[in-house]
Amino acid sequence: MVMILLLLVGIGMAAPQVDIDLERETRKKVALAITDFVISDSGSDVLGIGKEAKKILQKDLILSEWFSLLPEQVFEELEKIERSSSKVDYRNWRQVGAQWLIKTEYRLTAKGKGQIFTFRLYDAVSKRFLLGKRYKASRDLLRKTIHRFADEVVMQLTGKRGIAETEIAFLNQEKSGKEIYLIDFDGHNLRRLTHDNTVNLSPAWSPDAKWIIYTSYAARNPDLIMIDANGKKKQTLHRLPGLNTAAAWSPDMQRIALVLSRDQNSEIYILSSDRELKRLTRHFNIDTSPTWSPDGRKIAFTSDRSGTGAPQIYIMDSLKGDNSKVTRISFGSTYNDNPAWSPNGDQIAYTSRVGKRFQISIYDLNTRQSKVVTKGPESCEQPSWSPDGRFLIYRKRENGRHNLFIQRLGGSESRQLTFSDQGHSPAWSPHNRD
Amino acid sequence: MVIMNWKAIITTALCVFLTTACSKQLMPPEIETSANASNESDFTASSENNSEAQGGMAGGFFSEEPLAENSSSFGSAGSNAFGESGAGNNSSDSFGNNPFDSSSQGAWDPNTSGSSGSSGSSSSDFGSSGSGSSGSGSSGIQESRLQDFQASTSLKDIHFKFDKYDLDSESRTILKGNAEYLKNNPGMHIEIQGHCDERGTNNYNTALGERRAQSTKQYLVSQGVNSSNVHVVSFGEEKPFCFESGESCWYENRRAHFMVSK
Repeated sequence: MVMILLLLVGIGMAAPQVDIDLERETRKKVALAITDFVISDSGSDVLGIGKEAKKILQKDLILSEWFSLLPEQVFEELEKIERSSSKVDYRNWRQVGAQWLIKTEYRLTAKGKGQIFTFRLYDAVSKRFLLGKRYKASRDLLRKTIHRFADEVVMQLTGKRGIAETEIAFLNQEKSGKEIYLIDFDGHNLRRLTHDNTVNLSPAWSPDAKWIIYTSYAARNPDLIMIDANGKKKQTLHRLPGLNTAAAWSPDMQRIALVLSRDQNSEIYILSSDRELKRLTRHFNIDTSPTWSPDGRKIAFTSDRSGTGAPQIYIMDSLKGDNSKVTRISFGSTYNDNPAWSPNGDQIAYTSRVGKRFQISIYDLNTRQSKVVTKGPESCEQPSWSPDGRFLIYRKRENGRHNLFIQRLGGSESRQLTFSDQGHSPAWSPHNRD
Repeated sequence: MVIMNWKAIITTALCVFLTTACSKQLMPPEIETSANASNESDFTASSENNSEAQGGMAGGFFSEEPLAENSSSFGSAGSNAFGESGAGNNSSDSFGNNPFDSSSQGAWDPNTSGSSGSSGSSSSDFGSSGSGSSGSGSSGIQESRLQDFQASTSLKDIHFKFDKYDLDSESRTILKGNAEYLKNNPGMHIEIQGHCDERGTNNYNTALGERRAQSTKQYLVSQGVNSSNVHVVSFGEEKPFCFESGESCWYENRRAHFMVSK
């Protein structure tokens, strides 16, 4: 019932804005039929682009964990009958068990450098055409095109853009140091971003997903570097002697929270876009790992002010810092770090020592309770949120091998994203569309 | 307590000095632009420019438009927006992923940054030459960053307890010896590297390594070593000396390591 209401809302508006928070509702997945991508006119597809594109779309929608795909043999006959006409017999589709249906036509561009996809999404339950989209894109943007449509399909269901088009930045340990790599949400398109031949630390995205800031020892001091996501351009953003580390861009992109040790101790500062520095923490102990609340008004961070060697998670005002109330939120563990504020604003994920291992914990700002969300004999660290707030990516250590895993909140399964055995410090990109 | 007060004063002085230095934009951003940086990005950004001819080698094209239920899938070639003519189209969207589109970058963009002209030869200056972010002040933050350091047998490393940065009596004894050596070689610049074992988190360990290096430096200075000859850097857990998991190895990695100027 909720779904049908949502669909009506979705149809009624060009860009549906549904305030109902669906993340935590357990709901049945929508049974989806994806028919073969039909090449239009008399064209031929010797490269098999249609088949490849269909696979990408299927995987995207499965990974979204909103849909279950109807087995193709169930609707084989129906698909054949409808192929020659533009009609959709909703009753028949409902009968084979489909709730939603995607039909796709495509053709290659005349010069052969790209393709045009025409997608149509139907709801067999409410007997409606939901969404039509046409994309023309060059061959190298094939995956991105399909991801874009998959995210539209998710938006029709939830009112929130999907995350198939997002990517993850992370560090990979090489012989000469740690380099930044990028990988798509579906595990494809792995590529190397930096060639610094040195130790790099803690990559973090700009809110518009166009830049990554990170700390590099390239000049033999941990300096703050800014590089564009295509790797074509970079600059040194901050290079005081000592630490220039653990940087995090404010949601409005006007400020960067970072750790400096110019006071011979790591303190959190705000660097504004006019290059002014403002000190936030004033404590003799270590302060590090700032993360912004989505409204930019608070910063969660790590400090061992309650005991050296026993870092805990705290929240402070992003303007007043230690000059106003600072609240500790982690209890019951002697070592916590890497706070990551959720995009929805009501949760903070962090690394927490449980027994002899690290696990990912989530603090709920409404209930003021923390819950450990990973388990097992391996250490899980360094959580980062998907921009829709439904997934976490983290580093898992198994027998000395470090790989990145993605886990849906409320889900117990995790999906291994990287296989280099040397993956660290994942940072999930925001939605990268204007 | 006396030491604390002294620290507070120095800290405050540094704060004021550095804040001033920064606000005067003595610390221009360094621009590193690779050879092809002036090319367009992978995606042609503006929606007026989606023709197939655009973009060159790396350049792709992309356009997107909504579709009614019964509209024809591809329209009539040539005349509509999705034809092959290469004319501008009226797509409702595009991959606007061009990092050189300065309109949305604001002040962080290297292109729009006001002080980008000072890159080049001065970009790696760091105090010892008098320019750069630390300026020419007399504060102890002046560092010999331009120098190369090498390992030395004359200065002994010290080790730390797990998650601690304070010096035990054994470390103090070693540091007294190091201090004597440095006072006998007053022209020598050294680098103290703070290291941690692999346990713990990267961010905390980076900060902890800094504390270890700093407390080591402070002790040397208290023994009469010239503060401006001592450069400090933390590597956290990033540059271990020993690669196994176990206390003997972890002990090896929790250290302040000395390098001397070449």
